[in-house]
Amino acid sequence: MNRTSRLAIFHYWVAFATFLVAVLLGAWQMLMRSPLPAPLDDASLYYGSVTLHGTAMAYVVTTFFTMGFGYAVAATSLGRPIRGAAAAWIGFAICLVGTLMAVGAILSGQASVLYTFYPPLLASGWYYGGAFLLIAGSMIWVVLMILNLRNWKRDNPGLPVPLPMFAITATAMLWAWAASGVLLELAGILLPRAFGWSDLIDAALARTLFSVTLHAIVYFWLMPAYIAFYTLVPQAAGGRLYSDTMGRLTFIMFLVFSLPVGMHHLFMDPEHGSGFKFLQSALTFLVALPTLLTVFSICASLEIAGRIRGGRGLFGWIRALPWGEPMVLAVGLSLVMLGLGGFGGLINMSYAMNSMIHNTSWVTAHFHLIFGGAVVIMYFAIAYEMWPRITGRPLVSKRSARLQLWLWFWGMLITTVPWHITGLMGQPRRVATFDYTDPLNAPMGPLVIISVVGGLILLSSAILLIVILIRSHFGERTAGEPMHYALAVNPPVRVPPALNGFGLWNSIVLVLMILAYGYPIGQFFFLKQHSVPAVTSLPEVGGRR
Amino acid sequence: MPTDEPLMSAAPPADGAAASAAADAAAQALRNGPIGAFAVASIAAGLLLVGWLAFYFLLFIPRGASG
Amino acid sequence: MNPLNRPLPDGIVPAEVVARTEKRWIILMATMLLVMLAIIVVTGIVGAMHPPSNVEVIDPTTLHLQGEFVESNLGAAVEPDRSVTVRLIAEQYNFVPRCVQVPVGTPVKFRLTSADVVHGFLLPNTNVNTMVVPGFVAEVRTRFDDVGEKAMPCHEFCGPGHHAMWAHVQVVPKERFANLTPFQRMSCESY
Repeated sequence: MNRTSRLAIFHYWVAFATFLVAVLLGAWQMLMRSPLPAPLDDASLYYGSVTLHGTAMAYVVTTFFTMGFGYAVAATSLGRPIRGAAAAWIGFAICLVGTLMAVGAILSGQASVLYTFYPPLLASGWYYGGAFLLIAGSMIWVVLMILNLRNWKRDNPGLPVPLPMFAITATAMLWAWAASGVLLELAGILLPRAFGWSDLIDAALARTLFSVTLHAIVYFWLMPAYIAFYTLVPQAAGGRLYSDTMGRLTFIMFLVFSLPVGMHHLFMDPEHGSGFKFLQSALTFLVALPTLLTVFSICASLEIAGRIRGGRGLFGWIRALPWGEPMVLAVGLSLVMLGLGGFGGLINMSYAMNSMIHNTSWVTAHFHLIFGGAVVIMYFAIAYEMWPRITGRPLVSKRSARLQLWLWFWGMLITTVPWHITGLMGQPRRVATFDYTDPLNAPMGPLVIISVVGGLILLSSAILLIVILIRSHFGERTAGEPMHYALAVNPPVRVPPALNGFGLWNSIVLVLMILAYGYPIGQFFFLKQHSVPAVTSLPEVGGRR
Repeated sequence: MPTDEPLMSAAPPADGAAASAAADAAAQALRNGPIGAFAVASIAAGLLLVGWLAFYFLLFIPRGASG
Repeated sequence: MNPLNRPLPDGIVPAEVVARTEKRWIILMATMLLVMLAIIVVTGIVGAMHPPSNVEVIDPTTLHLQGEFVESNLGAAVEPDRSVTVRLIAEQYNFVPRCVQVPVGTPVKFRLTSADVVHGFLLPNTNVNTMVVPGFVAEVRTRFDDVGEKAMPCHEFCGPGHHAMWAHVQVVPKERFANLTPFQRMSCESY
């Protein structure tokens, strides 16, 4: 594990260092848009900060974390170092170079286009190039996950693939499919225009390609957390995973249904008609299913653990759980945030109901709660699991870890609940400052101030996280504990090939993508001229190039 | 800094007989499936459904026509 | 993580029970989702509740020169069937016109296009919400049941002046609207 350990820890440190900076930016942004005074009170800085915060959280933190986690899972669940470590390091370097390029472009003020790019706004080619390198570089990780799975299966014919490896490979494949949209948008539309090789931008095609990525990417972010739910949590609680089969089905469903749904981010767009919007809304209901199934399976796994520990009656098992374990506390807090954030998601995806909240701060609230809350809190728990195993030193303090998790939980609720409300009141998102003296805006002011308090709590939690991880890096060496993944209640002896590999599922993805996106994307090649001039994002230059 | 052990251990009772007794009691309670998990998950799903219906018919539809 | 002092036995819940309970839960959850989807379908058909879905192409570079969105044709216009069509241009960082008066209790159709980048159009506390994408005409239909003033922010990031892009809609009684000239409908008294 040593070679792989170093690989994993380098990825983790890039992820968490970036995370701390991004949280700091987020806290400042919250001050800016609130009635409270903020330092460096400049709207252009705000939009640059939003771009950096979004790019960091959505592309850098998540990709590096998941890559590191993937290498660690592959090595520990298969019981052997990963093959292709040299390629992995090359991938790490490419991703890091891309990150630095993109960050540099944003800091120079030449890329205030948000992480969603928003063509025909045009940023510096360095930003697009950096993003491209980061995302394309991570494809090396994807290939390595697939190759390591294939090698293990060849060396262990007929055996069930360990669930953690099955799940992280599904994650990698999903990421490859998901990334295709943004990579095509960057390589086919934005980079050519940034370098002056084309005159106009097909903004509608760019938005539609990006929508392929935009929803599926959140499942790429989410799957490490679900891997923890299925393979780490039952073990930490002292129980067993209720159903190994359900675990496999969940990750298969995410692979298949995360992709042909991206147009629910385009419900309000004028370049698509109601037919395909409805189709993708209906498909989105399908991708809600694996989460609903996971809630039951994980509760069942926890119930087993609780009853073993003496919990009795309908709910007594809950109190009996070892809440002192950070992983157990994390899953409890995560499931609460998953319920609330998931509720918001159900509202967003319900076709016409999207018009009630699209582009209001309700949306910002939703994804901070579900991603920043439910998912990222599991990233913390995974880190607390991984650090002792990689560094050979114990977690410096479980009590501090629990405090950090509680702070994150309450911080996230206090931040996002007011945003949900102001969103319903019609507060638009991505706005640097509001005139709170305007009677139409005044009622939102107190709510926004409450959310600032939440943001400061989140910042303190993020700082505490880094302190814990740094201190855990330098404690006293103890005998290393190998990674224990949860056993299933009924460990599989043999699983059908469909649950042990991905050939069938990738074919289904292809068919679904053609059905759901074939016309919506293809139409742009036949639609009358609709490409438009680019508009640079530089405030001093302004206007068209 | 010494690591502070949690007040509760993740391990089931260390004693062999107590351990199998605990496992038996659990298996007995779970013989028809995880009713506790079913209760928690049903309540959660029920709240989601009720909340969605409330939003749909009490907030969304009254806000007027769309499209 | 503390290792278990004694491993749990296999089969603490029999495999058939696991399979049966999981299947039952799948059916329950799939049913719940289908009920929600069915409600969406029915209200979509019966109540004509759809997201804005009119696909129509336009050239953003000649908006001011010819066609539907020339300046003299902007604002609120009365159709032969007495419904009202409001035409707006979204640009960095303004809606043109910045304030529009519309009659209460009347079908209103908003038609918007952008002269430059992607903007957004939102009337808080209504379901009027659409993206305004250059190269396309966005159309969204509604009906206002109460008089009053509504803010009309741009809700999509459109550049460093995005936060300043607010306009207003005034919903006025039908008689007052009928007495306004087209030019008067393009401004609101207090602005």
